[in-house]
Amino acid sequence: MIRKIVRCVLLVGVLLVMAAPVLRAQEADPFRIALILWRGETEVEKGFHDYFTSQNIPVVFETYNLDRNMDAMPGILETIRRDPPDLVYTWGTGITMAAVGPHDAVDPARHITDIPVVFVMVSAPWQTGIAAPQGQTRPNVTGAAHIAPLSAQINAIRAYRPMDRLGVVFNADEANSVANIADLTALGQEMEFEVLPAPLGDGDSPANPEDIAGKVAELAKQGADFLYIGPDNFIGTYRDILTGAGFDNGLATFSATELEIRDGQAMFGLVSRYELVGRLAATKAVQILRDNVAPGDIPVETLERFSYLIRLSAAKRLELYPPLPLLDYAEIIE
Amino acid sequence: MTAIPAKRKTGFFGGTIWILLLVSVVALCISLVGISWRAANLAENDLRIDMGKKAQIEIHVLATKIERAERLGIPIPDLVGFADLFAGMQAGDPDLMFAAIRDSGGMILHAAGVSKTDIASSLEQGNDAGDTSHIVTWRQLGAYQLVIGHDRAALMRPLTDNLFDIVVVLVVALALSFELMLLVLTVNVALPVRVASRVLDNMRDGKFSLLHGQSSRDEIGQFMARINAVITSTARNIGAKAKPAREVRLIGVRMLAFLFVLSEELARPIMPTFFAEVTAGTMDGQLGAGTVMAIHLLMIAIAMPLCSLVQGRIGSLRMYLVGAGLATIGLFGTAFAGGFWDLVIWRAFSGFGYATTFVACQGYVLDATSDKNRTQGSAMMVSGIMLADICGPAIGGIIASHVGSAVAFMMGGGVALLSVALAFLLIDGAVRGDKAPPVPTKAAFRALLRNRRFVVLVLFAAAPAKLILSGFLYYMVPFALWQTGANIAEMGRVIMIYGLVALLSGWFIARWTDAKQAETRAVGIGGGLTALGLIGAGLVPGFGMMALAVGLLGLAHATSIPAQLSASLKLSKDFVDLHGSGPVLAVLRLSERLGGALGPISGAWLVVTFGVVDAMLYMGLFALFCVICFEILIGKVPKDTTPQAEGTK
Repeated sequence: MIRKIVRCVLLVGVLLVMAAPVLRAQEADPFRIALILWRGETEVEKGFHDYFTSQNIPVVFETYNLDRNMDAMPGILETIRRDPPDLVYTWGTGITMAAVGPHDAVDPARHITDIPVVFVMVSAPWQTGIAAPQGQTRPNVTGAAHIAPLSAQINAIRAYRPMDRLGVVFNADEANSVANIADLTALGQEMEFEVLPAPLGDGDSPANPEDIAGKVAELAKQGADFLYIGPDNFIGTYRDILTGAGFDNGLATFSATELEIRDGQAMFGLVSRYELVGRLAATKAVQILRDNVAPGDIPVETLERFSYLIRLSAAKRLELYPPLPLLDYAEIIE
Repeated sequence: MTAIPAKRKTGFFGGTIWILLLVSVVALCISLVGISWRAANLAENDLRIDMGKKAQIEIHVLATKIERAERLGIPIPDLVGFADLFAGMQAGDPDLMFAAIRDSGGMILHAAGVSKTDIASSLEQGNDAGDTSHIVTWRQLGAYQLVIGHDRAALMRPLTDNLFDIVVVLVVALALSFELMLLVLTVNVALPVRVASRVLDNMRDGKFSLLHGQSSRDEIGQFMARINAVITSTARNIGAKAKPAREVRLIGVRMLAFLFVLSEELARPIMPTFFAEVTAGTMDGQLGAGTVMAIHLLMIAIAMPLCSLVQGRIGSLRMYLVGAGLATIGLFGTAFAGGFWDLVIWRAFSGFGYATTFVACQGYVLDATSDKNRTQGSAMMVSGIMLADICGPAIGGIIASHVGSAVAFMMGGGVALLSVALAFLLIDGAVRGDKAPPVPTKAAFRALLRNRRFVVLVLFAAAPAKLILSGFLYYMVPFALWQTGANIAEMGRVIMIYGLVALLSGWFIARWTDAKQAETRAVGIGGGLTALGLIGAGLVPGFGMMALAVGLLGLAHATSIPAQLSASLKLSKDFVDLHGSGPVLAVLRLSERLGGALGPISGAWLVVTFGVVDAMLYMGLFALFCVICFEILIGKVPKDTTPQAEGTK
């Protein structure tokens, strides 16, 4: 009996010694992921990295930061084509659209078609055409959306105070913002509220941050109950101007994205935690890289649970204190 | 066969029995209400302590939330959502009536539950008299005071919550007492006295041909034993031979009918939900429940004619024993059923047992009565059945809500087992039919089915009535009530309304139908009332409307079902003259039972497809369609002799 046990132990030892070079080879050959970012690393990328670490999957990240300059995009895509990584990670609607194009107008000369792409922070993947319509797939594209359903956002606003008119300052040149306004307007008929749109820029002249304050004042005059920040890169960049104008006009701001509340002065919002969005995207990347699942077979998804954030300093400034029941489940940022 | 003397003609509320019943009801009510009230008063101190603890927990939870808001820098006067917070707490404790925050000057800053004025008034009264309609609890929050108020009537809640249960238990206790008293008095007093009267009359006439054969060991028995000795010696002297005279204890069949129906009805309110749970692993639970209930009723429909054929050979006692034994096995098996197929088997056992016991009782009545007193004998059995229809669901609902659904089935099994033991005492083994029941020929059936009006009655009144009874009352009502949040005891009480209304209204309606000779009109009115109730339940769903619909169904069936029997015989008068009433009744009963078997399965299909509320509406529209077809197709029926009506189940 003892001999048998000794033999087994020796056998396992020999197998481990034989397997060591293979394991070392795997360690020495990590996956390569190209990250194309809009404004440097955020909590989303932290969640993305952390997931690989927690799963003990060796990976090398090659980061390309546009630093809010879309003109750099063709050069980055060229670099990626020359030395293709195992997977491309894209941040936001603009970058993703430039990288993969709309599902029905893909140009292999300009878009990535032969490398798996996982996108994050695309608020309206179906409306913008980044994701194929329901029932269809894109062979090399999948990703994680980060916006809570619009009806849930409206309910979140009304859990704070009654709302009949919603003022939205948005960049008319951003496809996701325009799509979001259309969806909001349609939902307004169903949920009985009016959307007061205040577009910035048009086809000829780009959006100008100096116009934001005027637009907010106009919305206040029209009787808006709240300002709304949807998925809009321009407004995200100039969020403090918007929320400041809101304070001046006695208007609180609701945001569908986390940073406007956590790092800005938006008063409240129903948001996906960026870190969790990153982890959701990482699960898809792992399915592609390790499990060899085709990206087209992995659904584009959003998180199932969202966080209700309240920036208390903004609430105090406007004397719009959160209702008591909200304190039970909202995350209060002081 | 022995004869039951004709009843003394009295008004509905005349006669000693009603006075006795009234006195006993009033006495029981007074004593039960008094005892309950006293018990509640004695328990008030304990309840007050419990309520105090609950109030302290609630005010602590409320205060914690307010203190947190205060710590976050939200000033108490500027708090928002106090009423919403209170509403959330009140949802968990309906006895919580109000909450308020007062400042140091006593001014109410926030109020919820009732208006600030009412709260102020309540707090003011509390300060003055120390006794208000609310029990007030408060807690200091710095310079502010948090106050909550509970309804003082909640202290009596244990009594008021169980008031309906108490009434139901009272009614059932009265019914059982009535049954037992009737049985004991009839067997020990009425029958011996009646036989003694016949023997003494015979003596007076100088015949000395009858002996008192109704054995009893009491004073009547001892007295008549001496009389028997005198008759025997006198008869010997005059060269005659005296024979013992006795009467069949027909009253026993009433108790047995009551017991076998009670065993099944006890679990009536929980059947759909219990069956849905058990069958959920095999198919959609609601469809599973409907299928199981349909198979049970189908088994009854199949077994009854078969049992009728062999009843004469087997005898009522043995048949009842077999039936009650099968029902016992079926009910105990149902209580422990683990899946669809074994549940089907147990329910089939129950159905077969139910049919067998029913036929045994029916056969016993037929064998033990003559043409003169058959209606009274049938009425005796039917009244036992109706009483069980009323008591069973109500008491079963209470049992199931306190000790579980499976126990209700076990109790049913226990009742069936009890009836096995009682059958030995209550069924007279000597009673046997002197001839086998005639088997109708195929030619007779063909001739009957060529009678257009009779076919219209069967298709658009008899079968739909039982389809709706089993589909709506037995299947949909428990499901719908369960969806409205009613508990099992409440389901039982609502189902009880059907039997109660039918019992209370049946006598008056029967008199009206007989007086007007308007059987087909009564059938039409019954159909209309059914449709009205069901459509109402479908359009205005809710507990009250459901109870009203069930009451209307009881009224409708009290109006139409006895009239269907009379109408069927009247519409087939020529046929009855030629072939007798047997085939008419057989076709009518078979159509009713097949309709009953179709009820749960069609109800389940409607519920699964449209949801329970719309299902009731569609079943109501079906009832409306049937009554319209009936009224159009039946035509004008000539007034004629009225055949005797009997009850049906």
